[in-house]
Amino acid sequence: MSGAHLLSITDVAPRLAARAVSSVEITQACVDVIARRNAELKAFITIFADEALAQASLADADIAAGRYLGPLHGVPVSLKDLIDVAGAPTTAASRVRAGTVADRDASIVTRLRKAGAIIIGKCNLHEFAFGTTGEESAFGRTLNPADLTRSPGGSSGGSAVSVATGMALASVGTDTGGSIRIPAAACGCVGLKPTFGEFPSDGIVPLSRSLDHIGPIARTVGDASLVYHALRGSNLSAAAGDAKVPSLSLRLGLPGPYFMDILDEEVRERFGEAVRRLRSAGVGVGEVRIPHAAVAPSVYLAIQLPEASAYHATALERQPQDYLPGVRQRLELGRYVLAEDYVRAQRGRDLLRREVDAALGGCDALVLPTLPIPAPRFGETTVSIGGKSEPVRGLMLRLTQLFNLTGHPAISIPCGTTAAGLPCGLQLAGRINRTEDLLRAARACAEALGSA
Amino acid sequence: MAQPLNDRVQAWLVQARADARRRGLAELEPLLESLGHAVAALRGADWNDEACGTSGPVSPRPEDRR
Repeated sequence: MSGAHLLSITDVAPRLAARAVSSVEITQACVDVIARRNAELKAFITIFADEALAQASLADADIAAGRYLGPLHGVPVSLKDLIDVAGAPTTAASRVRAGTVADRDASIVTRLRKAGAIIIGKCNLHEFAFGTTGEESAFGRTLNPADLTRSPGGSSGGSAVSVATGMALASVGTDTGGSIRIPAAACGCVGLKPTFGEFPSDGIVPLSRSLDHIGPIARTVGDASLVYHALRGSNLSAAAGDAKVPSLSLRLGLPGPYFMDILDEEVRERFGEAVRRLRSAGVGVGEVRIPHAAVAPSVYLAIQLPEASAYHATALERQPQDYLPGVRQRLELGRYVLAEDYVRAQRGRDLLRREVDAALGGCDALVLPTLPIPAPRFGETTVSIGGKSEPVRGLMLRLTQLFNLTGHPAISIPCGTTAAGLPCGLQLAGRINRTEDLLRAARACAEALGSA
Repeated sequence: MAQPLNDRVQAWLVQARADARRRGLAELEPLLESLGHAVAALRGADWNDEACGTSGPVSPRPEDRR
Protein backbone atom coordinates (compact mmCIF):
# COMPACT_ATOMS: atom_id res chain seq x y z
CA MET A 1 0.00 0.00 0.00
CA SER A 2 1.47 3.39 -1.03
CA GLY A 3 -0.33 5.43 1.62
CA ALA A 4 -1.76 7.69 -1.09
CA HIS A 5 -5.24 7.21 0.41
CA LEU A 6 -4.01 9.13 3.46
CA LEU A 7 -2.79 12.15 1.48
CA SER A 8 -4.73 15.27 0.63
CA ILE A 9 -6.46 15.39 -2.74
CA THR A 10 -4.24 18.29 -3.80
CA ASP A 11 -1.21 16.07 -3.11
CA VAL A 12 -2.55 12.93 -4.71
CA ALA A 13 -4.17 14.47 -7.82
CA PRO A 14 -0.90 15.29 -9.62
CA ARG A 15 0.30 11.75 -8.93
CA LEU A 16 -2.90 10.34 -10.37
CA ALA A 17 -2.61 12.61 -13.40
CA ALA A 18 1.00 11.53 -13.91
CA ARG A 19 0.01 7.87 -13.37
CA ALA A 20 2.51 7.61 -10.51
CA VAL A 21 -0.34 6.07 -8.53
CA SER A 22 -3.56 4.53 -9.79
CA SER A 23 -7.13 5.16 -8.78
CA VAL A 24 -7.56 1.41 -8.28
CA GLU A 25 -4.66 1.42 -5.83
CA ILE A 26 -6.11 4.30 -3.82
CA THR A 27 -9.66 2.96 -3.93
CA GLN A 28 -8.52 -0.52 -2.89
CA ALA A 29 -6.61 1.01 0.04
CA CYS A 30 -9.80 2.83 1.16
CA VAL A 31 -11.84 -0.36 0.77
CA ASP A 32 -9.25 -2.21 2.86
CA VAL A 33 -9.50 0.37 5.67
CA ILE A 34 -13.29 0.10 5.56
CA ALA A 35 -13.06 -3.71 5.71
CA ARG A 36 -10.69 -3.50 8.65
CA ARG A 37 -12.32 -0.79 10.74
CA ASN A 38 -15.94 -0.22 9.79
CA ALA A 39 -17.38 -2.98 11.97
CA GLU A 40 -16.01 -1.11 14.97
CA LEU A 41 -16.29 2.53 13.91
CA LYS A 42 -19.59 2.19 12.00
CA ALA A 43 -18.73 5.04 9.67
CA PHE A 44 -20.51 3.52 6.65
CA ILE A 45 -24.02 2.18 6.20
CA THR A 46 -23.63 1.15 2.54
CA ILE A 47 -20.29 0.33 0.89
CA PHE A 48 -19.91 0.29 -2.90
CA ALA A 49 -16.64 -1.68 -2.94
CA ASP A 50 -17.12 -3.50 -6.25
CA GLU A 51 -18.72 -0.52 -8.03
CA ALA A 52 -16.03 1.82 -6.73
CA LEU A 53 -13.21 -0.43 -7.91
CA ALA A 54 -14.85 -0.78 -11.32
CA GLN A 55 -15.20 3.03 -11.56
CA ALA A 56 -11.57 3.38 -10.45
CA SER A 57 -10.45 1.04 -13.20
CA LEU A 58 -12.36 3.12 -15.77
CA ALA A 59 -10.82 6.29 -14.33
CA ASP A 60 -7.33 4.83 -14.73
CA ALA A 61 -8.10 3.88 -18.32
CA ASP A 62 -9.44 7.36 -19.09
CA ILE A 63 -6.43 9.07 -17.53
CA ALA A 64 -4.09 6.78 -19.48
CA ALA A 65 -5.97 7.69 -22.67
CA GLY A 66 -5.49 11.41 -21.99
CA ARG A 67 -9.04 12.05 -20.83
CA TYR A 68 -8.10 13.52 -17.43
CA LEU A 69 -11.08 15.31 -15.88
CA GLY A 70 -9.27 17.23 -13.14
CA PRO A 71 -8.17 16.87 -9.52
CA LEU A 72 -11.11 14.74 -8.37
CA HIS A 73 -10.66 12.22 -11.18
CA GLY A 74 -10.24 8.79 -9.63
CA VAL A 75 -10.55 10.08 -6.05
CA PRO A 76 -12.74 8.08 -3.60
CA VAL A 77 -15.40 10.26 -1.97
CA SER A 78 -18.09 9.23 0.55
CA LEU A 79 -21.59 10.63 0.99
CA LYS A 80 -23.78 11.11 4.04
CA ASP A 81 -26.56 8.56 3.75
CA LEU A 82 -29.34 11.04 3.21
CA ILE A 83 -28.07 11.79 -0.30
CA ASP A 84 -29.54 9.72 -3.14
CA VAL A 85 -27.40 7.40 -5.22
CA ALA A 86 -29.29 5.63 -8.00
CA GLY A 87 -30.09 2.02 -7.14
CA ALA A 88 -29.03 2.29 -3.49
CA PRO A 89 -31.07 2.78 -0.32
CA THR A 90 -31.13 6.23 1.26
CA THR A 91 -31.63 5.23 4.89
CA ALA A 92 -31.07 8.54 6.71
CA ALA A 93 -29.95 6.08 9.44
CA SER A 94 -33.58 5.30 10.20
CA ARG A 95 -35.91 2.30 10.10
CA VAL A 96 -38.56 4.73 8.88
CA ARG A 97 -37.03 4.59 5.40
CA ALA A 98 -36.52 0.81 5.28
CA GLY A 99 -36.96 -0.48 1.74
CA THR A 100 -36.56 2.87 -0.03
CA VAL A 101 -34.22 2.80 -3.02
CA ALA A 102 -33.28 5.92 -4.97
CA ASP A 103 -34.19 5.82 -8.65
CA ARG A 104 -31.66 8.49 -9.61
CA ASP A 105 -28.59 10.28 -8.33
CA ALA A 106 -29.02 13.55 -6.46
CA SER A 107 -27.84 16.44 -8.67
CA ILE A 108 -24.79 16.96 -6.48
CA VAL A 109 -23.82 13.29 -6.99
CA THR A 110 -24.12 13.76 -10.73
CA ARG A 111 -21.75 16.72 -10.43
CA LEU A 112 -19.25 14.74 -8.36
CA ARG A 113 -19.30 11.94 -10.92
CA LYS A 114 -18.86 14.46 -13.73
CA ALA A 115 -15.72 15.68 -11.96
CA GLY A 116 -14.48 12.08 -11.94
CA ALA A 117 -15.01 11.29 -8.23
CA ILE A 118 -15.45 7.66 -7.20
CA ILE A 119 -18.45 7.24 -4.88
CA ILE A 120 -17.16 4.70 -2.37
CA GLY A 121 -20.12 4.48 -0.01
CA LYS A 122 -22.77 6.12 2.12
CA CYS A 123 -21.98 7.19 5.65
CA ASN A 124 -23.70 6.82 8.98
CA LEU A 125 -25.36 9.81 10.62
CA HIS A 126 -27.54 10.82 13.52
CA GLU A 127 -31.04 9.58 12.52
CA PHE A 128 -32.50 11.97 9.96
CA ALA A 129 -29.62 14.35 10.75
CA PHE A 130 -31.53 15.34 13.89
CA GLY A 131 -28.77 15.27 16.49
CA THR A 132 -25.22 16.34 17.17
CA THR A 133 -23.62 13.18 18.57
CA GLY A 134 -24.35 10.30 16.18
CA GLU A 135 -25.60 8.25 19.13
CA GLU A 136 -29.04 7.73 17.63
CA SER A 137 -28.72 5.69 14.43
CA ALA A 138 -30.63 2.59 13.42
CA PHE A 139 -27.27 1.22 12.27
CA GLY A 140 -25.44 1.78 15.56
CA ARG A 141 -23.48 4.75 16.75
CA THR A 142 -20.36 5.94 14.95
CA LEU A 143 -17.24 6.09 17.16
CA ASN A 144 -14.65 8.86 17.28
CA PRO A 145 -11.32 7.39 16.10
CA ALA A 146 -9.44 9.68 18.51
CA ASP A 147 -11.23 8.09 21.48
CA LEU A 148 -13.67 5.24 20.94
CA THR A 149 -15.65 6.15 24.06
CA ARG A 150 -16.57 9.51 22.54
CA SER A 151 -18.89 10.87 19.88
CA PRO A 152 -17.44 11.88 16.50
CA GLY A 153 -19.89 14.77 16.49
CA GLY A 154 -22.88 14.92 14.24
CA SER A 155 -24.94 14.68 12.42
CA SER A 156 -22.42 13.94 9.61
CA GLY A 157 -20.29 11.85 11.99
CA GLY A 158 -19.71 8.91 9.63
CA SER A 159 -18.53 11.31 6.92
CA ALA A 160 -15.94 12.90 9.21
CA VAL A 161 -14.72 9.52 10.45
CA SER A 162 -14.39 8.24 6.87
CA VAL A 163 -12.13 11.18 6.02
CA ALA A 164 -10.13 11.08 9.25
CA THR A 165 -9.32 7.37 8.98
CA GLY A 166 -8.50 6.95 5.28
CA MET A 167 -11.79 5.32 4.23
CA ALA A 168 -12.33 8.17 1.75
CA LEU A 169 -10.35 11.26 0.78
CA ALA A 170 -13.36 13.56 1.22
CA SER A 171 -17.04 13.37 2.01
CA VAL A 172 -20.21 15.36 1.41
CA GLY A 173 -22.51 16.06 4.33
CA THR A 174 -25.29 18.39 5.34
CA ASP A 175 -25.39 21.09 8.00
CA THR A 176 -28.61 22.38 9.58
CA GLY A 177 -27.20 23.71 12.86
CA GLY A 178 -23.55 22.69 12.54
CA SER A 179 -23.71 19.10 11.28
CA ILE A 180 -20.71 19.46 8.94
CA ARG A 181 -18.58 21.76 11.11
CA ILE A 182 -19.22 19.95 14.42
CA PRO A 183 -17.98 16.47 13.33
CA ALA A 184 -15.17 18.07 11.34
CA ALA A 185 -13.98 19.81 14.52
CA ALA A 186 -14.46 16.71 16.69
CA CYS A 187 -12.49 14.51 14.26
CA GLY A 188 -9.73 16.94 13.25
CA CYS A 189 -11.02 17.59 9.70
CA VAL A 190 -12.02 20.63 7.67
CA GLY A 191 -15.77 21.16 7.25
CA LEU A 192 -17.36 23.78 5.00
CA LYS A 193 -20.94 25.05 5.14
CA PRO A 194 -21.24 27.27 2.06
CA THR A 195 -23.67 30.16 1.68
CA PHE A 196 -27.29 28.99 1.94
CA GLY A 197 -28.71 27.65 -1.33
CA GLU A 198 -25.51 27.35 -3.37
CA PHE A 199 -26.22 23.79 -4.53
CA PRO A 200 -29.36 21.99 -5.71
CA SER A 201 -30.95 20.00 -2.87
CA ASP A 202 -32.96 17.51 -4.93
CA GLY A 203 -32.42 13.92 -3.88
CA ILE A 204 -31.42 14.88 -0.35
CA VAL A 205 -33.57 14.06 2.70
CA PRO A 206 -34.22 17.40 4.42
CA LEU A 207 -34.14 18.20 8.12
CA SER A 208 -35.30 21.83 8.11
CA ARG A 209 -35.44 23.20 4.61
CA SER A 210 -34.71 26.85 5.39
CA LEU A 211 -31.65 25.91 7.47
CA ASP A 212 -30.19 22.95 5.54
CA HIS A 213 -26.84 23.42 3.81
CA ILE A 214 -24.79 20.93 1.75
CA GLY A 215 -21.01 20.91 1.90
CA PRO A 216 -17.72 19.00 2.03
CA ILE A 217 -15.70 17.46 4.83
CA ALA A 218 -12.06 17.09 3.84
CA ARG A 219 -8.50 16.87 5.19
CA THR A 220 -7.40 20.33 4.08
CA VAL A 221 -8.96 23.62 3.06
CA GLY A 222 -7.60 23.08 -0.46
CA ASP A 223 -9.44 19.76 -0.67
CA ALA A 224 -12.64 21.30 0.68
CA SER A 225 -12.31 23.95 -2.01
CA LEU A 226 -11.98 21.30 -4.73
CA VAL A 227 -15.08 19.43 -3.59
CA TYR A 228 -16.97 22.71 -3.16
CA HIS A 229 -16.21 23.67 -6.76
CA ALA A 230 -17.23 20.22 -7.97
CA LEU A 231 -20.54 20.55 -6.12
CA ARG A 232 -21.04 23.89 -7.84
CA GLY A 233 -20.34 22.27 -11.17
CA SER A 234 -17.49 24.70 -11.81
CA ASN A 235 -14.15 24.16 -13.48
CA LEU A 236 -11.84 22.40 -11.03
CA SER A 237 -8.66 23.48 -12.78
CA ALA A 238 -9.67 27.06 -11.96
CA ALA A 239 -10.39 26.00 -8.37
CA ALA A 240 -6.93 24.54 -8.02
CA GLY A 241 -5.51 27.88 -9.17
CA ASP A 242 -7.67 29.78 -6.69
CA ALA A 243 -6.32 27.67 -3.90
CA LYS A 244 -2.86 29.24 -4.05
CA VAL A 245 -1.77 30.52 -0.67
CA PRO A 246 -2.64 34.21 -0.40
CA SER A 247 -0.70 36.86 1.45
CA LEU A 248 -1.59 37.38 5.06
CA SER A 249 -3.35 40.70 4.89
CA LEU A 250 -6.47 39.40 6.54
CA ARG A 251 -8.63 41.17 9.04
CA LEU A 252 -10.69 38.93 11.32
CA GLY A 253 -13.50 39.90 13.69
CA LEU A 254 -13.62 38.23 17.09
CA PRO A 255 -17.27 38.25 18.20
CA GLY A 256 -18.15 38.61 21.84
CA PRO A 257 -19.27 38.25 24.52
CA TYR A 258 -21.79 35.40 23.94
CA PHE A 259 -19.35 33.33 21.86
CA MET A 260 -16.63 33.28 24.51
CA ASP A 261 -18.86 33.00 27.60
CA ILE A 262 -19.09 29.22 27.87
CA LEU A 263 -15.96 27.40 26.72
CA ASP A 264 -14.16 24.35 28.03
CA GLU A 265 -10.84 25.55 29.46
CA GLU A 266 -8.68 23.57 27.03
CA VAL A 267 -10.77 24.69 24.06
CA ARG A 268 -10.34 28.29 25.26
CA GLU A 269 -6.58 27.79 25.50
CA ARG A 270 -6.27 26.22 22.02
CA PHE A 271 -8.40 28.97 20.51
CA GLY A 272 -6.44 31.69 22.30
CA GLU A 273 -3.16 30.18 21.09
CA ALA A 274 -4.53 30.05 17.53
CA VAL A 275 -5.52 33.72 17.63
CA ARG A 276 -2.07 34.64 18.94
CA ARG A 277 -0.43 32.68 16.12
CA LEU A 278 -2.64 34.35 13.55
CA ARG A 279 -1.73 37.76 14.96
CA SER A 280 1.97 36.91 14.88
CA ALA A 281 1.55 35.88 11.24
CA GLY A 282 0.27 39.35 10.45
CA VAL A 283 -3.48 38.75 10.59
CA GLY A 284 -5.42 41.62 12.11
CA VAL A 285 -7.87 40.49 14.77
CA GLY A 286 -10.31 42.99 16.29
CA GLU A 287 -13.41 42.63 18.45
CA VAL A 288 -16.88 42.84 16.91
CA ARG A 289 -20.38 42.53 18.36
CA ILE A 290 -23.49 40.66 17.32
CA PRO A 291 -25.88 42.20 19.84
CA HIS A 292 -28.68 39.62 19.65
CA ALA A 293 -26.49 36.50 19.42
CA ALA A 294 -27.71 35.20 22.78
CA VAL A 295 -31.26 34.87 21.40
CA ALA A 296 -30.07 32.82 18.40
CA PRO A 297 -30.68 29.42 20.09
CA SER A 298 -34.31 30.36 20.78
CA VAL A 299 -34.76 31.66 17.24
CA TYR A 300 -33.20 28.47 15.91
CA LEU A 301 -35.47 26.16 17.91
CA ALA A 302 -38.64 27.98 16.86
CA ILE A 303 -37.71 27.53 13.20
CA GLN A 304 -35.86 24.22 13.12
CA LEU A 305 -38.29 22.17 15.21
CA PRO A 306 -41.53 22.88 13.31
CA GLU A 307 -39.85 22.67 9.90
CA ALA A 308 -38.58 19.20 10.82
CA SER A 309 -41.94 18.18 12.28
CA ALA A 310 -43.77 19.25 9.13
CA TYR A 311 -41.64 16.93 6.98
CA HIS A 312 -42.13 14.02 9.41
CA ALA A 313 -45.82 14.56 10.27
CA THR A 314 -47.19 11.62 8.28
CA ALA A 315 -44.45 9.19 9.31
CA LEU A 316 -44.88 10.21 12.97
CA GLU A 317 -48.54 9.19 12.76
CA ARG A 318 -48.06 6.03 10.71
CA GLN A 319 -44.88 4.49 12.11
CA PRO A 320 -43.78 6.24 15.31
CA GLN A 321 -42.23 3.00 16.56
CA ASP A 322 -39.67 3.13 13.75
CA TYR A 323 -37.99 6.28 15.07
CA LEU A 324 -35.37 6.11 17.78
CA PRO A 325 -36.90 7.52 20.97
CA GLY A 326 -34.91 10.76 21.30
CA VAL A 327 -35.38 11.73 17.66
CA ARG A 328 -39.10 10.99 17.82
CA GLN A 329 -39.40 13.15 20.96
CA ARG A 330 -37.71 16.12 19.30
CA LEU A 331 -39.87 15.74 16.21
CA GLU A 332 -43.00 15.61 18.37
CA LEU A 333 -41.77 18.66 20.27
CA GLY A 334 -41.83 20.69 17.07
CA ARG A 335 -45.58 20.19 16.81
CA TYR A 336 -46.04 22.38 19.88
CA VAL A 337 -44.33 25.46 18.46
CA LEU A 338 -47.03 28.02 17.67
CA ALA A 339 -47.14 29.70 14.26
CA GLU A 340 -46.88 33.10 15.96
CA ASP A 341 -43.56 32.07 17.51
CA TYR A 342 -42.28 30.82 14.16
CA VAL A 343 -43.09 34.30 12.77
CA ARG A 344 -41.33 36.03 15.67
CA ALA A 345 -38.32 33.81 15.05
CA GLN A 346 -38.26 34.77 11.37
CA ARG A 347 -38.13 38.44 12.36
CA GLY A 348 -35.30 37.67 14.74
CA ARG A 349 -33.53 35.79 11.98
CA ASP A 350 -33.68 38.87 9.71
CA LEU A 351 -32.19 40.96 12.49
CA LEU A 352 -29.41 38.45 13.17
CA ARG A 353 -28.56 38.33 9.46
CA ARG A 354 -28.14 42.11 9.42
CA GLU A 355 -26.08 42.01 12.60
CA VAL A 356 -23.69 39.42 11.16
CA ASP A 357 -23.46 41.49 7.96
CA ALA A 358 -22.61 44.53 10.08
CA ALA A 359 -20.00 42.61 12.09
CA LEU A 360 -18.38 41.57 8.79
CA GLY A 361 -18.41 45.14 7.55
CA GLY A 362 -14.86 45.89 8.64
CA CYS A 363 -13.27 42.48 8.31
CA ASP A 364 -12.84 39.54 5.96
CA ALA A 365 -14.27 36.92 8.29
CA LEU A 366 -15.39 36.29 11.86
CA VAL A 367 -13.21 33.96 13.93
CA LEU A 368 -14.51 31.86 16.81
CA PRO A 369 -14.26 28.31 18.13
CA THR A 370 -16.39 25.69 16.36
CA LEU A 371 -17.26 23.58 19.39
CA PRO A 372 -17.17 24.95 22.95
CA ILE A 373 -16.22 21.48 24.22
CA PRO A 374 -14.12 18.57 22.98
CA ALA A 375 -16.01 15.54 21.64
CA PRO A 376 -18.35 14.42 24.46
CA ARG A 377 -18.45 10.91 25.89
CA PHE A 378 -21.32 8.75 24.74
CA GLY A 379 -24.27 8.99 27.09
CA GLU A 380 -23.15 12.33 28.47
CA THR A 381 -26.11 14.73 28.43
CA THR A 382 -24.48 17.49 30.47
CA VAL A 383 -20.91 18.67 31.04
CA SER A 384 -19.52 20.92 33.74
CA ILE A 385 -17.96 24.19 32.61
CA GLY A 386 -16.76 26.62 35.24
CA GLY A 387 -18.55 24.55 37.88
CA LYS A 388 -21.89 24.87 36.10
CA SER A 389 -23.74 22.01 34.42
CA GLU A 390 -24.48 22.70 30.75
CA PRO A 391 -26.53 20.58 28.31
CA VAL A 392 -24.35 18.86 25.69
CA ARG A 393 -26.79 19.31 22.79
CA GLY A 394 -27.19 23.03 23.39
CA LEU A 395 -23.44 23.48 23.76
CA MET A 396 -22.61 21.63 20.56
CA LEU A 397 -24.91 23.87 18.53
CA ARG A 398 -24.09 27.05 20.41
CA LEU A 399 -21.39 28.48 18.12
CA THR A 400 -22.51 27.13 14.76
CA GLN A 401 -26.31 27.48 14.50
CA LEU A 402 -26.21 31.27 14.09
CA PHE A 403 -24.76 30.94 10.59
CA ASN A 404 -27.45 28.45 9.57
CA LEU A 405 -30.01 31.04 10.57
CA THR A 406 -28.27 33.82 8.67
CA GLY A 407 -27.02 31.77 5.69
CA HIS A 408 -23.44 33.09 5.94
CA PRO A 409 -20.75 30.64 4.80
CA ALA A 410 -18.70 29.13 7.64
CA ILE A 411 -15.83 26.69 7.82
CA SER A 412 -14.15 24.73 10.60
CA ILE A 413 -10.40 24.08 10.46
CA PRO A 414 -8.27 22.14 12.95
CA CYS A 415 -6.68 24.15 15.77
CA GLY A 416 -4.79 21.72 17.96
CA THR A 417 -5.83 19.05 20.40
CA THR A 418 -6.51 18.75 24.10
CA ALA A 419 -4.02 17.02 26.39
CA ALA A 420 -6.02 13.84 25.83
CA GLY A 421 -5.55 14.16 22.06
CA LEU A 422 -9.10 15.31 21.25
CA PRO A 423 -9.21 17.69 18.25
CA CYS A 424 -10.40 21.28 18.57
CA GLY A 425 -11.81 23.40 15.73
CA LEU A 426 -11.49 27.04 14.75
CA GLN A 427 -14.44 28.47 12.85
CA LEU A 428 -14.41 31.26 10.28
CA ALA A 429 -17.60 32.84 8.91
CA GLY A 430 -17.59 34.98 5.80
CA ARG A 431 -19.84 37.19 3.74
CA ILE A 432 -22.99 35.91 2.03
CA ASN A 433 -22.30 34.64 -1.52
CA ARG A 434 -18.55 35.00 -0.95
CA THR A 435 -17.74 31.41 -0.08
CA GLU A 436 -14.63 31.46 -2.26
CA ASP A 437 -13.28 34.45 -0.33
CA LEU A 438 -13.92 32.53 2.89
CA LEU A 439 -12.01 29.55 1.52
CA ARG A 440 -9.06 31.78 0.67
CA ALA A 441 -9.13 33.27 4.18
CA ALA A 442 -9.35 29.79 5.71
CA ARG A 443 -6.42 28.60 3.64
CA ALA A 444 -4.33 31.52 4.86
CA CYS A 445 -5.29 30.83 8.47
CA ALA A 446 -4.61 27.10 8.13
CA GLU A 447 -1.16 27.93 6.72
CA ALA A 448 -0.48 30.19 9.69
CA LEU A 449 -1.66 27.51 12.12
CA GLY A 450 0.32 24.79 10.40
CA SER A 451 -2.77 22.76 9.50
CA ALA A 452 -3.03 23.51 5.76
CA MET B 1 -29.67 32.00 32.28
CA ALA B 2 -33.10 30.50 31.53
CA GLN B 3 -35.75 33.04 30.68
CA PRO B 4 -38.58 33.12 33.30
CA LEU B 5 -41.95 32.02 32.00
CA ASN B 6 -44.65 34.69 31.91
CA ASP B 7 -48.39 33.94 32.24
CA ARG B 8 -48.97 33.46 28.52
CA VAL B 9 -46.08 31.02 28.16
CA GLN B 10 -47.18 29.22 31.35
CA ALA B 11 -50.68 28.82 29.88
CA TRP B 12 -49.21 27.42 26.65
CA LEU B 13 -47.03 25.04 28.65
CA VAL B 14 -49.96 23.73 30.72
CA GLN B 15 -51.94 23.02 27.55
CA ALA B 16 -48.96 21.44 25.77
CA ARG B 17 -48.19 19.14 28.72
CA ALA B 18 -51.81 18.03 28.97
CA ASP B 19 -51.91 17.32 25.25
CA ALA B 20 -48.66 15.35 25.38
CA ARG B 21 -49.98 13.23 28.27
CA ARG B 22 -53.26 12.65 26.41
CA ARG B 23 -51.26 11.42 23.40
CA GLY B 24 -49.20 9.06 25.53
CA LEU B 25 -46.08 11.23 25.23
CA ALA B 26 -45.45 12.12 28.87
CA GLU B 27 -41.71 11.91 28.18
CA LEU B 28 -42.06 15.21 26.29
CA GLU B 29 -42.76 17.18 29.48
CA PRO B 30 -39.15 18.12 30.32
CA LEU B 31 -38.52 19.03 26.68
CA LEU B 32 -41.63 21.21 26.66
CA GLU B 33 -40.35 22.98 29.77
CA SER B 34 -37.07 23.77 27.96
CA LEU B 35 -38.96 24.87 24.87
CA GLY B 36 -41.04 27.13 27.11
CA HIS B 37 -37.92 29.00 28.16
CA ALA B 38 -36.90 29.41 24.52
CA VAL B 39 -40.37 30.69 23.66
CA ALA B 40 -40.22 33.13 26.57
CA ALA B 41 -36.86 34.44 25.32
CA LEU B 42 -38.25 34.81 21.83
CA ARG B 43 -41.37 36.66 22.97
CA GLY B 44 -39.32 38.86 25.25
CA ALA B 45 -36.95 39.91 22.47
CA ASP B 46 -36.80 43.62 21.73
CA TRP B 47 -37.59 43.27 18.03
CA ASN B 48 -41.20 42.31 18.69
CA ASP B 49 -43.94 44.89 18.27
CA GLU B 50 -47.54 44.69 19.35
CA ALA B 51 -50.90 45.92 18.04
CA CYS B 52 -51.61 47.57 21.38
CA GLY B 53 -48.81 50.01 20.70
CA THR B 54 -45.85 48.73 22.62
CA SER B 55 -43.00 48.16 20.26
CA GLY B 56 -39.43 47.16 20.79
CA PRO B 57 -36.55 49.51 20.13
CA VAL B 58 -35.27 47.36 17.30
CA SER B 59 -36.97 46.91 13.95
CA PRO B 60 -35.73 43.99 11.91
CA ARG B 61 -36.81 45.70 8.70
CA PRO B 62 -36.48 49.47 8.97
CA GLU B 63 -36.98 49.74 5.22
CA ASP B 64 -40.56 48.50 5.70
CA ARG B 65 -41.37 51.55 7.79
CA ARG B 66 -40.48 54.13 5.20
